[in-house]
Amino acid sequence: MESDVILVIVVVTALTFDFTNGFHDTANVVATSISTRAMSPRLAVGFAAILNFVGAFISLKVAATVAKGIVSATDVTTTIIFAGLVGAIAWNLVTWYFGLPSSSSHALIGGVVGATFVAAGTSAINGEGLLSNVVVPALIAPVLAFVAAALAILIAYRIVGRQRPGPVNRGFRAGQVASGGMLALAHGTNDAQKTMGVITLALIANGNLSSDPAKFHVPEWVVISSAAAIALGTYTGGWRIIRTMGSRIIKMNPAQGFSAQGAGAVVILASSHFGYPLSTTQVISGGVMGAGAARRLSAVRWGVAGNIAIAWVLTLPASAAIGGVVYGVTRIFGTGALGPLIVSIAILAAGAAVFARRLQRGSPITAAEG
Amino acid sequence: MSTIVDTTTLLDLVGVSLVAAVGVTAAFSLAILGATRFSDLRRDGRAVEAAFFGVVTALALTACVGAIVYGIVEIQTK
Repeated sequence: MESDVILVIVVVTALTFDFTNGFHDTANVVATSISTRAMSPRLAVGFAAILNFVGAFISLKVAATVAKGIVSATDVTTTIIFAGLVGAIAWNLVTWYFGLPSSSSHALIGGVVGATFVAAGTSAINGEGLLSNVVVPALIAPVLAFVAAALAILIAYRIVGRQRPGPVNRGFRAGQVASGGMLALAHGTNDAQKTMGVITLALIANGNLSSDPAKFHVPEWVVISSAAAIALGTYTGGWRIIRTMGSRIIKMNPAQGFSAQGAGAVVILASSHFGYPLSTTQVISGGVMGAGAARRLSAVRWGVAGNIAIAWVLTLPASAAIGGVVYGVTRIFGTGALGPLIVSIAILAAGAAVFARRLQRGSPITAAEG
Repeated sequence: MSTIVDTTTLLDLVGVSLVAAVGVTAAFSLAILGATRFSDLRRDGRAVEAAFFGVVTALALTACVGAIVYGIVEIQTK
């Protein structure tokens, strides 16, 4: 009975993380389309939400289980997963508040690593796995996307540079619908599967599903609820980050928007093909900067870019610290369901208080301002 | 170090990403160029040149659609 309570808490927390993942990463898909007026804000987030939902059903291989090769699988419990998810949700909300695009995947890995560290010590952490799966890709993703988008925009200017701007802009805006659509599909597939993986692992750990790898399957309700949560989060739209990605890094024209999105989609698909884990957020951010810098280095607001880079550096340690603290707090109340239950109630109360304060202070940033 | 950074895969990733990003953007830019020139030349009554740019547009758009289909297959199989 007690383990069922923890399972329900983990499932709800995982779906909440999935919602924040969609909410936080909407900007990756829609920011450039909104900024260049390829689509209206509401149409853009609606389009991205539908394709995120569809993307979650395209592939169900759940190849990337959370923190695989980074923490010792035998040490991971449902309480550790819960603490890791809380760490990731908290960091997603902090970076959203400051309008900074950061990787939800890295936040989740960080949260699980922090909780595992507190639970089982350094022996349960694979430092080499952390370096090869998170740190090195985090250095490569933005640089590769920067160069790809910069080369792409230079070739685009070379080809259409002497044409009338009207038809050229209309053409690139139309192209952005396709490039943004590809990004949304890839995002839905990759990121919704993380949540499906978390919930499925929790079901296996609780004995609801067979632990035999040959019988591994993701229940239909897990697929549908994960797809719905990420789509709903995407539709809600993290407007603060959309504003940063769409107009605070550079002021984009449609050709730059297409180059950033197109190069971003290509890099993400190539990384998927070669099995090299790159963060969608870091790829798109790098692409946006590359498309701006190729035209004129001073077109990029390097102060904003610097803040984003700081957020990327802090993502792993900050979410790990929160995940570790949350795990420590749950253990104060023993190994049962009481700890996760109290932490959940405390988080809900804090969330309600912040929301109420926000309502009192005025309207939030919405599509109209985005 | 070699276990932390898989150099071969990384080089493949970099090469394919750069070539594909430039290729897709070049193809779409050619489609826009072709469509713009097709419209202008047809208006000026230069049918043969307009037809040439019409073919360029069609080929470039076919390449772009091919890239999208390949991308969707890639998403599905990974």
